[in-house]
Amino acid sequence: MHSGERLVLGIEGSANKIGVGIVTSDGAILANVRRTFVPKTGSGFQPRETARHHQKHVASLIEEALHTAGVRPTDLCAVAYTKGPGMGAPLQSCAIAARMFALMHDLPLVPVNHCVAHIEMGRLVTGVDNPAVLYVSGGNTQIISYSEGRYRIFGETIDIAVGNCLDRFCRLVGLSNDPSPGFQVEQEAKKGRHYVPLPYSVKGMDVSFSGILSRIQDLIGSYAIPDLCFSLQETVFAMLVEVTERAMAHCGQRDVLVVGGVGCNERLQEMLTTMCTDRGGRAFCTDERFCVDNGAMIAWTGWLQISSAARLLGSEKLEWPWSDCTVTQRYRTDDVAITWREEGALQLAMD
Amino acid sequence: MFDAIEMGSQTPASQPAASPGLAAVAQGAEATIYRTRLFGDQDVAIKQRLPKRYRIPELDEHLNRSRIIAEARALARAWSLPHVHVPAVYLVDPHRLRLVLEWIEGLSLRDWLRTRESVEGTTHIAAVLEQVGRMVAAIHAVGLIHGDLTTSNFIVRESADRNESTVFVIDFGLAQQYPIQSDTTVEAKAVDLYVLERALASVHVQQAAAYFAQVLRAYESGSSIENAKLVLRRLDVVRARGRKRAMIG
Repeated sequence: MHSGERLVLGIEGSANKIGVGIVTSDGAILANVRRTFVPKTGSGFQPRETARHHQKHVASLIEEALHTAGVRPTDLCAVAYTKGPGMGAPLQSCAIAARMFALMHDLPLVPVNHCVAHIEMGRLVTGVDNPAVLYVSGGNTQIISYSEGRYRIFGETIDIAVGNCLDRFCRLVGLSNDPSPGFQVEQEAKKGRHYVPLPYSVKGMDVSFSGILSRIQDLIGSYAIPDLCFSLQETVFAMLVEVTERAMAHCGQRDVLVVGGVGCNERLQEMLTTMCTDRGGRAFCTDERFCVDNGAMIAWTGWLQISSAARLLGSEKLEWPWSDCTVTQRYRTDDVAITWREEGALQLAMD
Repeated sequence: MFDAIEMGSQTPASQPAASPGLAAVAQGAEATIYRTRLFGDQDVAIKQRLPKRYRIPELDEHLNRSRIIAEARALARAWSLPHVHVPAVYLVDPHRLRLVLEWIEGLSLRDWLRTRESVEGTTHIAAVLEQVGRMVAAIHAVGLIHGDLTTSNFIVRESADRNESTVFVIDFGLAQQYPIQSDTTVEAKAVDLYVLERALASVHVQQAAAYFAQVLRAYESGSSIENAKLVLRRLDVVRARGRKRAMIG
């Protein structure tokens, strides 16, 4: 039924979400299923219990994805998985599942950088070609721009990630983690009316959130929770939009793409849209299916990687060295050679 | 203030603030720069800060007002320091969000490096980078932190014969005065240098490490031994923290 197209299955599990996606070589998403590990109110997700969660769900999710796509393992041309960055134990669980599945069905295995996958998914879904990228999640806060075969980081947090700041605040005030802490803060913030001043910490194109978290910790009890949620969001998002705008001015870009879990916050999307409109550009956003961790983003980036590697080698066969198929907790966005965006980049990757 | 001087051709963003009725010469993320003349012969830059519609008014007004006053203070402080070149402040208008400053003719360090990289040897570049390092050291020596040391925020003014250059540091919009000796100050200085390192690395990819090493050498020789030791050690910590941030997806 999918003749002529090649299919890739991708497995993501670097944090508390496990996702399996199947995409075609044309970028059609045939399946993108996910389970989220939700820790009890007041606590975050620990590596061990998160890994157990992923181990429990990975096989059934693969079956579910194949079923949703209406394909068999023999229809696939490759298996992609998240190499990093992320939490060690959950990454390992998914990498082992991916390796086993690849061996069972004699498929090449492709290791994918989680951050790069977020960017490529955003580009695929929104169709924007060369935007400044704001990548905001529980573990990452980066302002990225493509240049000379890499996604280069122009600004980032110098301490904790913005999503981590929101998550920890959520825990401190006892909001639920279901479906996600950020969602709860967003809903509470809608009821907030009064702005409580908080530290505003922007250093060049970098931001810092740990001071805000300490300050707001002291304010709990003195102000209503909706007002604190409102003030927290207004402050941290204004900082993010400010550094994004500065990076755009620095790189001469008009458009911005926001990816990562925090990217589905509608207030952040609204602020980015206002900023871009005033600059004569556009903000490109996706909804939770694509900006929250998912398997399709890994599958799609795996396809980009393995197909450009084949072109690079002038080979018909899709392959990737097994020795590279490891996991790593630390894996910078700018460590990856982006071999699929321009012809010259292929040469850069060979040098 | 010229943090996007190369964007001069771009149409200025529509914004509610009163413009001085002049054509913009540069449009940055934070402000628009206009050029005009005072008293017949004095070229000046008008830096008009832009209110941001994406921020709630309480936050935006507070930020704009406190930043314009802090900027004027920091510029005045830096102007009084030996070996430091910054534009002189002529007028501060916190209500209209305007600063009137001495006009500095020249190229941003970013553009200057791009043009010089292709045409000549490294001695001239080394001299400019040395001035950058010494100037940052002199500013830091009094506890002043620039807060946005990108390559767009240094202006290189060349003499008529192009043999000598004077480097100016501009845009004190994010500058902060810290206590001269404290742990927070050491941290802020290290972050200031880290911003510069990253700005070099993001645009001048090939030579960034060598450039920054030259800046650091000049910074060291322009600082007290104690300060240089503390700040450079902290810079390693800041860098390491930067790497660690990629940990959790």
